[in-house]
Amino acid sequence: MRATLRALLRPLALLAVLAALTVGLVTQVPIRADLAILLPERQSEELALLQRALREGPANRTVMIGLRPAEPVPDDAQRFARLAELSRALKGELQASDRFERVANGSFALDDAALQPFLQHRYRLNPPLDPASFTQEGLGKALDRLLVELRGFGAPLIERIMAEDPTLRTLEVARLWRQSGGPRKEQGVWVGRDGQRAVLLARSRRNAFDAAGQTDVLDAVQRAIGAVEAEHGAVATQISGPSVIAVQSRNTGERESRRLLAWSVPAVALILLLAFRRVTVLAASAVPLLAGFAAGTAGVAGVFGEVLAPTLGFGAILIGVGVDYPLHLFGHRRPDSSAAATARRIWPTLALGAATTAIGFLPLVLSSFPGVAQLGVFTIAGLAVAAAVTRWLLPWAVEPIALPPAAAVWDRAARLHAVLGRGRIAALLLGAAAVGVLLLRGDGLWQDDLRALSPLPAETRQQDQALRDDLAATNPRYLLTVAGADAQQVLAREQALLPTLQRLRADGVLDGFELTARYLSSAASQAERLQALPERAELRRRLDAALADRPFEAGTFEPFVDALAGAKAAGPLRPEQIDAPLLRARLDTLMVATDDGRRGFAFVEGLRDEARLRDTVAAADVPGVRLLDLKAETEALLHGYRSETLRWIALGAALGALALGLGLRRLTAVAAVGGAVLVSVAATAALLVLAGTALTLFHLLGLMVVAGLGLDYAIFLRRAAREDAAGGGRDGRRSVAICAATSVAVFAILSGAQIPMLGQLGDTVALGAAVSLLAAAAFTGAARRN
Amino acid sequence: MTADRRRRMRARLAGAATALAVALGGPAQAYELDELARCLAVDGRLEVGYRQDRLVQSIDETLSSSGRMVYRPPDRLELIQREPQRERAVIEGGRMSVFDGDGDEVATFELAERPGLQLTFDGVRGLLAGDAQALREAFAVSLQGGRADWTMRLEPRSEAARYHLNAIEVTGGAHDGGCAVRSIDVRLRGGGRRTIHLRSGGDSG
Repeated sequence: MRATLRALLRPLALLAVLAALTVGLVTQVPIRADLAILLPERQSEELALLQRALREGPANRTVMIGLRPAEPVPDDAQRFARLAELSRALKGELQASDRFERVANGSFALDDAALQPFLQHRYRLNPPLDPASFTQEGLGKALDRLLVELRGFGAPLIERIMAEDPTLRTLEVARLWRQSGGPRKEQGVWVGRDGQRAVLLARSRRNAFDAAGQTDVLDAVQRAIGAVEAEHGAVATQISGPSVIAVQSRNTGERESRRLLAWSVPAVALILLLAFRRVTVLAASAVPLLAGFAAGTAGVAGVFGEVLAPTLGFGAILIGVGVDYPLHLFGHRRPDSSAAATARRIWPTLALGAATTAIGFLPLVLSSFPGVAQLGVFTIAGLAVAAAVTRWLLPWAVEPIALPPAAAVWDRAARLHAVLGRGRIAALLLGAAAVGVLLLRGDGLWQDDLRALSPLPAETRQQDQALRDDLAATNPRYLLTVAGADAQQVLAREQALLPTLQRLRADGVLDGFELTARYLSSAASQAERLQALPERAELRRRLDAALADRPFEAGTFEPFVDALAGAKAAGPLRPEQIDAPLLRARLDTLMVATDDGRRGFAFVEGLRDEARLRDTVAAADVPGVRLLDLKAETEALLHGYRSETLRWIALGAALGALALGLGLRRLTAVAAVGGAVLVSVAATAALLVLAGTALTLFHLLGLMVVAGLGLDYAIFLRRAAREDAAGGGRDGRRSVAICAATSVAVFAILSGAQIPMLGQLGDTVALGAAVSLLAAAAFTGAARRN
Repeated sequence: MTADRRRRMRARLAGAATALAVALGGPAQAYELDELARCLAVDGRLEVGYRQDRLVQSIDETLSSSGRMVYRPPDRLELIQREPQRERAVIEGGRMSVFDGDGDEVATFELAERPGLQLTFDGVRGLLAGDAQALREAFAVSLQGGRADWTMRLEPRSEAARYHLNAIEVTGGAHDGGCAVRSIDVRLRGGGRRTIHLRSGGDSG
């Protein structure tokens, strides 16, 4: 017992120092949490801007809520009535929580608050003012209409604004801002497309970037739902939106990490204990891995100045092959030799494996995608340090540990190895078949659906998509982007584009369009319109004339005269001067700031003839305008991303082969080890594809890990086969078997992860580690004859 | 609803000169609110024509409109305006939704935000439902006259309501074997006034 404790001392001391170092690094280095950074969609400027407008604008603060009674109501009319009741109750509760700037459920409450911004800016916002409205005749007509409206049900509202706005311009402006299409409406509230649930939008007051803020907002939603249930009975709800997803992702991430640790640590411990029967081995094995992690983090921070959070997670997985290094040290240790001597003995093989793998990752460093480049740096630094620690530091740490020698049972593995070695040709043929499968699939190999590359679990994604569809908030496929040096230039260009779009709509080429210029004209045009308005004295004269034979009391419309004169004096309204939440929300998704000015988006709805739109817009020849086909754009991007990554990986493979050649110096050896690696990778990829998987970047990264593992197994098995004569074979086979067992175990656990990218890595490497072991055995089983 | 009941009701409605109920004669004593309310109570759908005259501050002319009013117990009231332009309002569950001639929803008001309107509709619904208790809770009620011809004055109890609404005067009387409301006169604090004349059968006007 005391011996064990003493033996534990050095590894534990090292672990403590490394842990302190790692914690220090992780807290000092700027870490950016952004899962999407590994996705190609971030890499196109245009798409990135659009994403920003859609996600980080007000949409980022929006919670989408689906709501229905827990007990289904079969009758349509009854259900709609019930949904309307629930929707209104929830809206009331959400508004009462005071956490939300705006809660929308489709009910169009044209109340004073909603009307205020339109009233305030009515002469400067679109639609364009018609000077004829302010002639004596125009004013007379407006007053007659006012009398009709005052006899109707909208009278309470009209009475409030008529003194200021007898032409009811406010309502005309407000109508323009009402959602044109919008979600399906029943009984005055939004319901889903199938009419089974009510849908609502709630936009929180504060930007929910921080965890506390997001949780606070979601708690408020849950409390509101609880209050509705207390009064109206049990309900079923679905909630989504950026802050919901952020909280869920965080929870999923934490739950997944706990689950992975809870399963993989005991699994690895069990394998190591079975193999070495020493607790101390567990602590010692962690030393190179932790050192590699710290080195990877430091390397990335040194090169890039910041670390992306996913780099840490995926990097830790990619340097997983580093856990093999200490296992080789323990596996090859014999009772009669010191740990230092063992390390010296296996170093050429270990160094060759580590160097080749690291060189294989080298080209990734050059990737234009920051996430991929960081992973390259992390892996290279991590593997190099893990290998060096195994060579120079670990022997000191494990010197006091007495390890049992490999049991004679491992000699039986020699026979199996030899048998597999006779299947080399078969393995080559299988590899060729695998390459054939991959070539036949061509571009069909790849996952082209961006949504499938999302870091979110499928269920979260589907729920989000369903709510978006119900709220008609889905992104359209086509849009025009309008670049300009500033907001005014963008507005002027959009305005120049408007007649073209209006003509296309009239011709039925498209159903509608949405752009800033629809709501607000450029300062120059506004100034022109305001200029055309009558002066105060002239307006009063015309108004008095119009009032002469109408039943309004004198002086009733004095506020109107003031307001019009006020608007004329105030001058044009610029988009940045608008701060009413309803208006702001719309404008923020339609124009964003860029590095070199502003970019406006014109969303096109119901496009029927893309070519015609393209030609007509081109013919209009408005500078800075570009038609964007989001689908084609993302596909092209994805394609570029993939081919670039594949190019770097191919270069890495070539460099690795070169390193291998330099290390092994014999063509047959290079052929055996290289063949094993190629067959492992090809067979793993083919198996994934045959199982119906569409490959993603994470499968590719997994395949690189497989290549590293395959290389490691092949060179150590080759060494084992060659040492059989000296009786050293059993050590090598044992250590490779243990390595393969731990890799398969850990990555099989990872493949069950709910986060798709982790699952993809897990599938690939778990499968690949098993395939690599077989391939390595097949290509090295006959080595002793050489 | 049985055919018999339906016939009875139709007879009663047709008989009742108006939408809003009333009983036949009886001794010419002080007419009790509870008795009137029982007589006014409608237990099925009710549709009557109306004409509304409004007086609005700053306009020296009576603003008239007309159409049909449909009541469905317990608390749904629908107003279908025909003149001067087609519009529709539905008052239900504390809310009034306004639809334009094309049937598109134009606006929805929370009645709570418009105490004058809310009290008016509360009063009308209280009368139609024959809910004397509800009327007494919201208003100080005084009733004058007899079954054949009565006037009810409703004065809002709450301070907030009195800020907007002075009183509602309802007149009615016996008609063809039932009770009927003839007019509802809403006097607003600022001098505004709304008089609704009810008449069964076709549009009032």
